[in-house]
Amino acid sequence: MKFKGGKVLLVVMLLALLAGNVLAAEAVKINLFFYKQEINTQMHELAAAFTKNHPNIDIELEMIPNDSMTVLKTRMSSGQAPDIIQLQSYSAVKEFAKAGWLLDLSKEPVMGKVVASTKNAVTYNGKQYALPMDVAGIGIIYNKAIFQKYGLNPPATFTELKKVCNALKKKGVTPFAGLFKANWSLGHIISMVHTSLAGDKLLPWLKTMEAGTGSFAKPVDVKRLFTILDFYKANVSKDAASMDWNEQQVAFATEKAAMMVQGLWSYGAAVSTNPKLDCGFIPFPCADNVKQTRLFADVDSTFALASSSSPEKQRAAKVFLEWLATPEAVKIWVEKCKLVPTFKGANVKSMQQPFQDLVSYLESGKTNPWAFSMYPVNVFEDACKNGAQEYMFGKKNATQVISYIDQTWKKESRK
Amino acid sequence: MVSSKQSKLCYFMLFLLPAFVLYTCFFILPFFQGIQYSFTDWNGIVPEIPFSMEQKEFDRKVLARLQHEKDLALLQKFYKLNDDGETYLLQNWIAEKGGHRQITAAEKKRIKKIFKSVGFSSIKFIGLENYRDMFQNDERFMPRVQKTYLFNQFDDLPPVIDSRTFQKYLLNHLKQGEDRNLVLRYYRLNREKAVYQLANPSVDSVVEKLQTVLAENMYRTTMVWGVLGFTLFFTFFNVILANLLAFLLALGLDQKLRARNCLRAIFFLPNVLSLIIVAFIWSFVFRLVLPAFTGITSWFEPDLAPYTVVIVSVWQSCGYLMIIYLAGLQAIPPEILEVAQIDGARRWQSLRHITLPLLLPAITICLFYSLSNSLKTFEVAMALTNGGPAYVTTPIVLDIYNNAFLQNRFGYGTAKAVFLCLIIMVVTGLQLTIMKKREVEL
Repeated sequence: MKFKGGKVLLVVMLLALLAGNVLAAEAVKINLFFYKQEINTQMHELAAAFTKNHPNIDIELEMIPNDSMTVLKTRMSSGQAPDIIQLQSYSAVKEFAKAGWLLDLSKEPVMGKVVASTKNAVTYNGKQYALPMDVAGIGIIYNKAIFQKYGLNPPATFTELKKVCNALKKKGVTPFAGLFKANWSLGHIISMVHTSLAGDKLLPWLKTMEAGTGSFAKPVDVKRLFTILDFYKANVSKDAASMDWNEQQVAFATEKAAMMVQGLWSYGAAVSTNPKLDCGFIPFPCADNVKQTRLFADVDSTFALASSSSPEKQRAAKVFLEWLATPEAVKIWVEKCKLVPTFKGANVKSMQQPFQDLVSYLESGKTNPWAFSMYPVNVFEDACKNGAQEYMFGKKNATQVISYIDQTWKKESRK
Repeated sequence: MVSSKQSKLCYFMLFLLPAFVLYTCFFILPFFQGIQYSFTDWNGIVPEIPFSMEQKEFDRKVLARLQHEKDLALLQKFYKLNDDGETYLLQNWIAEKGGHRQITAAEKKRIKKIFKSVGFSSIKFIGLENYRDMFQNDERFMPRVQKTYLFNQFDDLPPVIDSRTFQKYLLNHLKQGEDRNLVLRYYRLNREKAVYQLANPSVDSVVEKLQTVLAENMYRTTMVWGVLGFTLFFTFFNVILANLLAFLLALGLDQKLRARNCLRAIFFLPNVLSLIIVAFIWSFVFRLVLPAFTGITSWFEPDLAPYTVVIVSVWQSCGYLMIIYLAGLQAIPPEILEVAQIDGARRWQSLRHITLPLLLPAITICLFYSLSNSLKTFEVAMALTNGGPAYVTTPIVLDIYNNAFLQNRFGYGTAKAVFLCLIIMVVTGLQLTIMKKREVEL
């Protein structure tokens, strides 16, 4: 009996398999590779909504959360490039475009629908190689309840920030939830402060660096840069050295600290730990002039298409990119993924307060670009991230940090 | 068993030959290819044959130098100008009857050969540059002497400096002259307390000058061990501590205890866990549990973090070594120990003169295993500290990973990998020859 049942099952399974293959042969299956782990389930929703509209195109999702670049590079060099690739803006897009892996999207109609200023993040040699998808900001996320309790206002200048921190410390509240165990957050911070202090001099300075004549110290007041880092160190949680991103989120969400210097992508994690959390989002003020306080915000993720895919897959992938600009897709992107879209006139009214804050800064043009994405990869990955961490732990002094950044940059620009 | 020549051949063909072929394909060839990459500046992204090339460059560097008509025809088949006529693009998909087909590996190889024949390659050969970089220019790799500055230029002047620090780290670095006089004018020795006290400098310019002098001249020279140093440090402590602990555990669990099977399982358990989980558990322990007992607030400070990594690694790896030692202990015939006992040997004596010599094969294996594993350690540091803070817990493999995948220096990373391979071969080879000589046959 048992045996017979097994046989029937086998036949059914074989038939199902055959049927599946035949059906699948008609549809184009495209592979989408993404790294944003916080929107894993939402991406599936997005793909399902797309397939509903375009039944002949199937999207196979693949999420590689950590070290996505490692996996991606290995897959590229073994000839298994995904059809649609989620890439970080600037340097990742540039490097893959330079190597010829990406399709030129400059003439696609969807590129006309994104806000013009975001295109800079995906441009290489005057052409756009990816579709900018979301804008993210790095700044201070603060707990409104704590601020209200002690009668504090969100600071707009560095002096005000100092006052706020001193007031908080007097009440026994840690001003900033720290993150010193991993180096990336400190890398963001040193670049953020540097960019803010450099102001208008940023782009000319980057040119001098490329030419090999500049120095990290030149566009800024070095003293101020490192005083701000010292100030940050003096105001973070005591055991910041053993705090990673998780611990930072917990410390902030459980109201052990009143603020954290983080990207807005962290907000979701903090809120999921403590749903009652009421937050605001402001730029990290580095100057005493309110006009110079700008939000460190830029394009974060983009979608690029692989040049090695077959023509029909490329066509299908382009259909997907076009669809992303439709109100339906933007709605999922905004409401479910909680990401700030780059499309013109996108409706973001349903977003939570911190995101609204980000959008208002974007709309008023009060932002600084993510300069670290424009540094050579090695300069940011090694010299800035590790350098800032070494400074915080007293392993290097200001001069040593700057000279290491300059050396690394010289090596990179000589290539 | 005597086997005929024929069946020997049969066995060879059936089992050894396939294994050898697989070994060649998956180990020997990639190994030599890796060595080849270590002499290049490959960044890990650039494909072997260019996907796109500017029209002028393509004409000048490739098409103009071709020798055979056949090659030209082939290249023209696979490289087509794009719409704006500026760049040649590789036709990855070729239209044929009944659809498209992808370019095959053989075709890619032929294209690569043609490019090679005109002296064009997208991956540059740079000779020993990578190796030179590794030993001379890489600040993080080799151990080196570094100045640790004790005063930060932007801090307030310290009101008191104890006299030893002042003399050793500041005065010794100042030659006779203006700076030295300035420092001595404003910092006066207080003999009772053995400190130098700041005599109120009221002018801002003096304060600034003092700050600069102190920031530049008050330093301690310390040894920074670098990636190589940390790897050796880690290997030394991990091998000794893990083996010692494993041996003691094995001795204990070889006794006739009631709960010994249960205990064996418990001690082996860490080895079954994924290292990521282990790292999570331990970072929790180090952050919340241990500070309460030890009074050390942060176990992840640069001075302590290397030991932290060693502790976790020892905890994790000693269970496995313990099993090998246990097997070795149980292979020792009990009669020999009994005879020794009858002859009046004390416990320590029988351990020293009977158990240890007979256990040498197990020790050889365990040392070999933990040596090679420690030299190429990766996961613990990656998961627990991610190599930080300030790069102090980065072993060579993690450094290779950083170079190759985070910093896009694939060739350079490969050069380090080749160097690591050499280290491992030398160290384990030495260990094996020394230990093998000492083993006794039973």
